[in-house]
Amino acid sequence: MTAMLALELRGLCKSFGGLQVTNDVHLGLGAGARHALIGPNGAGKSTLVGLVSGAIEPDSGQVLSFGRDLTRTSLQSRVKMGLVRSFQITSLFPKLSVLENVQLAVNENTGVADRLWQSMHSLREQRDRCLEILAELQIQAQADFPVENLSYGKQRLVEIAIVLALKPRVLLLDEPAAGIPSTETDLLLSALHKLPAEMAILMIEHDMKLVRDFCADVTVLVSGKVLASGKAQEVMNSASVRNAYLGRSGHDRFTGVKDHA
Amino acid sequence: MAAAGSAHGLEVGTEMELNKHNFWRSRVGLLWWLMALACYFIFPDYRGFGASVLVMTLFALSFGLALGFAGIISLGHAMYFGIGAYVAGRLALAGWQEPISGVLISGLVTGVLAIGIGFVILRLSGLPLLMVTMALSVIVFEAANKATSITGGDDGLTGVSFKPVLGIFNWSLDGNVQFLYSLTWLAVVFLFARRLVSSPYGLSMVGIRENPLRMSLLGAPVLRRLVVMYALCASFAGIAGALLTQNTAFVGLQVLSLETSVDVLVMVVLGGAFSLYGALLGAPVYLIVKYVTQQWNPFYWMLVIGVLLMGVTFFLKGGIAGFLSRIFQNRRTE
Repeated sequence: MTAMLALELRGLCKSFGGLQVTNDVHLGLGAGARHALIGPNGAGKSTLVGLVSGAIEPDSGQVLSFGRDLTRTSLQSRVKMGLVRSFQITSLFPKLSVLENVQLAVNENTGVADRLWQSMHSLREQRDRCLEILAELQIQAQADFPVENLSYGKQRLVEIAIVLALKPRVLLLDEPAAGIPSTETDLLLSALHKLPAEMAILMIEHDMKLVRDFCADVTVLVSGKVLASGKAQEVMNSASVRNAYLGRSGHDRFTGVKDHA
Repeated sequence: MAAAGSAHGLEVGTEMELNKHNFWRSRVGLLWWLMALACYFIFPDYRGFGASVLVMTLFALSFGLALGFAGIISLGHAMYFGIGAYVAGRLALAGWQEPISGVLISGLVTGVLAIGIGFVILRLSGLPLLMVTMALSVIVFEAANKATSITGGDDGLTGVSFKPVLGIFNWSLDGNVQFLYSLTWLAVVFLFARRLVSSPYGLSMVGIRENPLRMSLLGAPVLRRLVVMYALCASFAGIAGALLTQNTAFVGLQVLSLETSVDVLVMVVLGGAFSLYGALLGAPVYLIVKYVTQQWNPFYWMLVIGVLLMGVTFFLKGGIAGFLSRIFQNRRTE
């Protein structure tokens, strides 16, 4: 059964000096999961993403994907195996065009990036794949624009385009809506809804509306520990979660009483 | 459209500017080569000087490729130039006087050397890399100065001679063969470099220059890619050094000096680091201005070069190459 899980965390622990940032975290995501990771600032969400993506090494515990133990696997190898993360602070190639940003990712993913002696022109297959992704996210009109000239919301879409180009089986979305003006969240949400159904997605997000609209499951992290985990509705309605994190207004936003709180 | 057009988004600012690098891909680039050839016929008395300009242009190209496309900043590139020069010289003294294979062997030696060095130093970038490359080249310079049995020390390697090119063209004092031989090598390396920068590998180099961390998170082996690029550039520098030896039948310590590294940096910045034509424009302008002003006043030429460099840095974004491509672009859109 566990071998079927797209992503499984077993008893992950990490401390920096005397501070225990991740404390015995267990988590399982099946293929096609839409799972939100929420928690107050300093709960250890970003550390957890670091542990899963391979940027940080755990003190103990395991990270598994489709039954393979990736705990000691390098960051690059995890990406090649389909464990991909997006970035909270947009981390693109600002001077390159949108298309080139995606091409970089597609070239790496299809293993042609090492070719010294082939013109970019001749990589028809890679090019088509890029244009396909751009069309899917509706940013094909900006293909030739340098990324730095785009609005912040559009830059997040480029970020997602890059991530898609890596053909992830497990996707870690680190605050995809952070910094996007509310006029552009719909753009993001519709892009997220178009992600392949079989992809397992773990999303860190503060925007409760986005969590409600997108995620079926929620895990609440407080002080490095899992406080609650399960179906979104149940977790959000539990009293301990409301006390620890959501508060009154957060809960209202989730239930949709006040959509624009 | 964009895939090849925006040529790695170098120094792009506005949408209109995006395709300006097509300028250098278009036939306008051919003008440079025609002018170089024209110089051969128009200034027959200066063919020797012309050959040395072409050699330095090739050296500058090798440096511009590393600096502009891969973001490898260095103050020690003369190390490879110099070692290439000495290898060609030692080969000739040992009896290997066939010039073309001599150049290839020199390029191979510096390339292999750079693989070893690159794996260590390319973990650094920016200022620390600049310092380490400078220190390394100073050490090599001093070692060469002391190892008189190999390098001839201060006196240099004299009595170096080579067989005719392709067994037909005899080296002469007027520099005919030197000029055309160097121009041919420059063209070959340039075509290779142009192919390189328009390849997926070239794009990944630009990606590494712009955001190395993200590149590694796309799954790219960043260090290995940089080392390959560095080795290729070192190999081209070694080729340039070997050509210098063959053209002048002499190797002096100067080829390894820090000043030579600085010269090549200035040439590339002057011409424009983000275009292959930057080196092709920067090196001749620098050397010709230097030559002419030295004729005028041997003491003040640095002043002229200094003012020129400041003017270019302040007023011409992207060096001479960037300036020219903007003029061309404006004319076409009007």
